[in-house]
Amino acid sequence: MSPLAHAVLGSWAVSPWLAIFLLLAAGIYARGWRELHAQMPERFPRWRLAAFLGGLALLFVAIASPLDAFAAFLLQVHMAQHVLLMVLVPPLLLLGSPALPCLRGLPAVLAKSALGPFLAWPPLRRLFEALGHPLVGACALAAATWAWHVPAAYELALASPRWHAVEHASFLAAGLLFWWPVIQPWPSQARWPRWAMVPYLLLADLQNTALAALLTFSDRVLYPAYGRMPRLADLSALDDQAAAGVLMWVPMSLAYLIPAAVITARLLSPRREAPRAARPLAPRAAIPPRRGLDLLAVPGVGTLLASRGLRRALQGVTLLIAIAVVVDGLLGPSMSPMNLAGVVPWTYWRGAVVVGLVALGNVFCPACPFMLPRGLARRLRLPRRPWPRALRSKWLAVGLVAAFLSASETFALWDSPVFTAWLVLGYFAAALAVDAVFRGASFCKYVCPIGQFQFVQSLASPFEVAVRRPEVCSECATHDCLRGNAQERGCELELFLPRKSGSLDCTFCLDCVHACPHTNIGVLAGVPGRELVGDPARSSLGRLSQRPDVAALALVVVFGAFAGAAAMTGPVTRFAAELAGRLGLASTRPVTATAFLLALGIAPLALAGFAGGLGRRLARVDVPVRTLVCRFALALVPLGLAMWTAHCLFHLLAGWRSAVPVVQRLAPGLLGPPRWAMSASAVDADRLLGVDLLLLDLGLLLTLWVGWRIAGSYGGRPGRSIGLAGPWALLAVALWLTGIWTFLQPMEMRGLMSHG
Amino acid sequence: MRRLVALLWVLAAEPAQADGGTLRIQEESGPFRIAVFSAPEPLRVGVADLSVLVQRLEVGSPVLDAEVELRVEGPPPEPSIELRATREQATNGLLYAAAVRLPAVGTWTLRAKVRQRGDVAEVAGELPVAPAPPRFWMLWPYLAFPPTAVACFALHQWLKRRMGTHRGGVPQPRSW
Repeated sequence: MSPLAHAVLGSWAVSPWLAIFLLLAAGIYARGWRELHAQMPERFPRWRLAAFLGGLALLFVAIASPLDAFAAFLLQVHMAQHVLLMVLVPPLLLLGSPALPCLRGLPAVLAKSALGPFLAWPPLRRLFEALGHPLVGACALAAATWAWHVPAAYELALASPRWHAVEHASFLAAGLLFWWPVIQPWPSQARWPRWAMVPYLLLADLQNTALAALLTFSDRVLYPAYGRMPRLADLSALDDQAAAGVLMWVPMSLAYLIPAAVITARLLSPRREAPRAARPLAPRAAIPPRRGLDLLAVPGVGTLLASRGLRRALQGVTLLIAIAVVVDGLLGPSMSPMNLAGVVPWTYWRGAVVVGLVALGNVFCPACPFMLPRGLARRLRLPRRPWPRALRSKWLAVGLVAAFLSASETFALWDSPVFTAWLVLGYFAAALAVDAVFRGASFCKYVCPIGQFQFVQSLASPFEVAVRRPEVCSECATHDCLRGNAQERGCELELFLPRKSGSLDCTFCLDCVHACPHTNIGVLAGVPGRELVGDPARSSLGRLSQRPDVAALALVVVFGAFAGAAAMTGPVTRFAAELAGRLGLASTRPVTATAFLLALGIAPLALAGFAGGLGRRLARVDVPVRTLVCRFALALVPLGLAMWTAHCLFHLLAGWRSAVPVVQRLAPGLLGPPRWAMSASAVDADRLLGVDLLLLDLGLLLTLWVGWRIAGSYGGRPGRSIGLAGPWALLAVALWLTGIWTFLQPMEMRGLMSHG
Repeated sequence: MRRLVALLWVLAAEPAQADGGTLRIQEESGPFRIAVFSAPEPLRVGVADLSVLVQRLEVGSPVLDAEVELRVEGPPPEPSIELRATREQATNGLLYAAAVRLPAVGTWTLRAKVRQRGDVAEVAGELPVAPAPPRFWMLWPYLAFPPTAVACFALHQWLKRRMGTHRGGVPQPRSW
C-alpha cells in the first residue's frame, strides 16, 4: 500500500464515548435478541441481529472513519457520510426490530422499574405513535435534507464540529423517522396501507433528485468553504460538488427505488396471501431465568479470582513492593517524586484502590501484604485471645482513619518518603502485634484504617460476595462459610453469608467460597448502593441504624474526601499560610491539624445532627434522631466514593509515568539513566476536569437516590419523604458544590515534578 | 436575541481536537503549498490545536515525510512558543498537528517552517485569540446533569404513583 493510501485509510478518529456507546448498544441488543430468538425464532431470526449490528458498524464508519476526517476537504466524501446516515444506517437498525431486544437486553430493574412508567405514560406513547406516522417521516426527511443544504447552515456545520455533530444527528434521526413506516419494525402498527409506501418512497426520491440535480448542475460553488480548502485530489471544487450531487442522486435514489420495487412486487405477488403472521410461531421456549452477573461463574475470570495461588502471588508482589518502598523511603532521595515511597503509595496504590472500588469492590484487601503477619502468627499458634469486648465496634477505627487522614495532610506524609516508609513499617508492626495476640482477623475488622476505608466505600461498589441461591442455605446445617471445616477455614471476620448484606467487613478473601460445600457463593453484581437502602439485621454487624460507630466512620470517610482534596488547592494552602502568619506560627501544621479536626469531627457531627433533627421535624416521624443519622449518613457514601475516585484518579492519570524514572534510578544499568521529564504531569489538568465532574455528578445522584429510598422506607406520602431526605439532600448538594469548587482551583501537583 | 446569538456562538465553540479546523494560512512557499488550520473556532485562551497540510507544488500531492516546526509569537510581553507538529498527533493522516496552550488574549503570529529533503519553506499568519469563555459555559453540562436527572426521577416517581393509584398497584410493563 502506498504511504498516501496508508495515511488516508489510517485517519480514524475513534472517540472513546462513541465506542462505548456503540459497544453498549450492540451488547444490550444482542443480549435481548438471544432471549427473544430462543422464544420466538421466526420473529427474531439471525438476520435481524446481523442487520442491527451492521447498522451500528456503518454508523461507526460514518462517524469515525476517514470519511469524517476528509469530509471538510471534499464535499463528495461529506456526502458519502450523509448517504450512510440517511439511507443505510436507519433501515438496517430498524430491520433489527430494536425496541423489544433493547428492552429485553437491559437489566430487568432498569427496563421494568426505571423505564416502565415512562413507556406506559399515555402522552409519551402518543408522541411515539405520532412520530411513527408516515407524514412525520416524510416531512422530517425533507426538512433535514433541505435545511442542512442551505449554504449558511452547511457552512455552520463545516465551521464547528459541534454543529457538524448536530447535523449528523438530525440526518440520522430523520432517517429513522422516514424509514420507520417503510420497515414497520415489529410490534409497531402500520398507520397507512402497505401500498401507500410506494408513493411515499417515490416522493422522497423526487425531492432528493431535485436537490441532487441542483448540486450536480450548479455552475458555482454553493459552499464557499470548499472553494477555499486546499485541493487534495486533482479535482476542482466545482467538480467535487458535481460528484457529490451524483452521489446523492444515484445511490440515494436506488435506496428509495429498490424498496419501492420490492413492496410493489410483493403486493402484486399472489403469495402475499400467506403472510408470516399466519404461520404458527414456534412454540415458546422457556426463557432462562434472569440472574445477575456472577464473576465466579464467568469462565476463566472465576477460576482466576478464586485461585489461592493468585492471591498468594498478589500478596507476594505487594509485599515485595512494600519492602522496596520501605528501603527506598529510608535510604533513597528525600524528594518524593524521585523516591518509590513518594510515588508508589500516593500515586499508584491510592488510584488503583479507588478504581477497584468503583469497578468491582474491595480488591485491595485480598492482595494486602499486611495479612502475611497474621499467617505467620497463626502458624506459630500465637493468637489465642478474643478481641476485647469493649473494643468490638468501629470507634477505634473511626479515630484511626481520622488520625491517618489528618496526619497525611498535617505532616505532608505524601511529600516525605521517610515518613511513608515508617508508616508502612508501623503498619506491619501493628498487624503483627494485633494478630499475634488476638484470634481471627481482629486487625482487619477493628483496627486497620485502610480496611475500614474500603469496607465503607465498598458499600457503594457494584459487586458483592453473596449467596447465589438462598434456598440452598436454608437447608444447610453445617454453616461452613462461617465456621469452616477440616479443609477450609470459614470467615475470619465472622460474616455468616446468608445474613450478610453489603460488603461492610468483607475483605473479598473468598475463604467462604472455598468453604461452602454447596458452591453456593459467588461474586454477584447488583445496583451500586442498593445495600445502603435497607436496614436488615446484618451478620456480625446488626442493624446499621443502631450503629453510630459505622455512621461516624462513613462520615469521616466522606468528609475526609472533600477535606483532603480541598487541602491541595492553591487558595486553601495560601489561606493556611496566611493564617499561620497572622497567628505568629512557625509552620502551618497547627492550622492544618485544627482544620482537619473541624472538617472530620465537628462539621460532620454538627451537620449530620442538624440534618437528622430537621428531617425528623419536617417529616414529623417518631424516630430517634440518632437512628435517622445512622441511616442517612450511609447515603452519603456514594458521594464520598465519587470524590475519592475523582481525586485519586486525577493523581493516577497525571502521574501514571512517574514510576518510570524512579525505577530507572534504582536500576540504571538495566533501564538507562532516569528520564525525569516523565515525572512531570502527563496530562493537562483541564482535560481531566470533565471526568472528575462527571464522577461527582454520578456520586451525587446515587446519594440522592439512596437517601430517597431510605426516606421511603419510613412510609407515608411523598411529602414526608421529601421532609426526611431534604436536609440530607441539601447537605449532599453542598458537598457536591464543594467538590466542584475544589476541582476548579489551581492544584498542587503532588508527587510530581513541576517540570522535567 | 443577542443573548441567543451569544449562546449559539458559545455552543459552537468546540474543545480543541487535531482534525483540521479553520483555515488560517494558505500560501505557496518554496516548492510547497502550505495550509495551516486551527481549532477551535473562535480561538480562545487555552488549548488550541494547530495542523498543517504540506503539498508539493508541482504535483499537488501531500507531503508525508516533512519536518514541521511551529512558532507562535504572542503579543508583548507574552513569550513565543515553539513546538513540533507531527502526523502522529493528527487525526487526519495527511496533516501535521500540535497542541498549544495560548495563555493570553490578542493577535498572535503563527509561523510554520517546513523542511523536506533539503527544501525549506516558511509561512506566517495571524491567530486572533479571544478571551476564554466563562467557566460556567464549559461546565454547564456537568452542572445541568444532576438537576435534569432529578427532574426525570421526580417525573418517574409521579408517574409510578399516578399509575399505581389508577390501577391499584404499580404497573408492570408487558412481559415480552
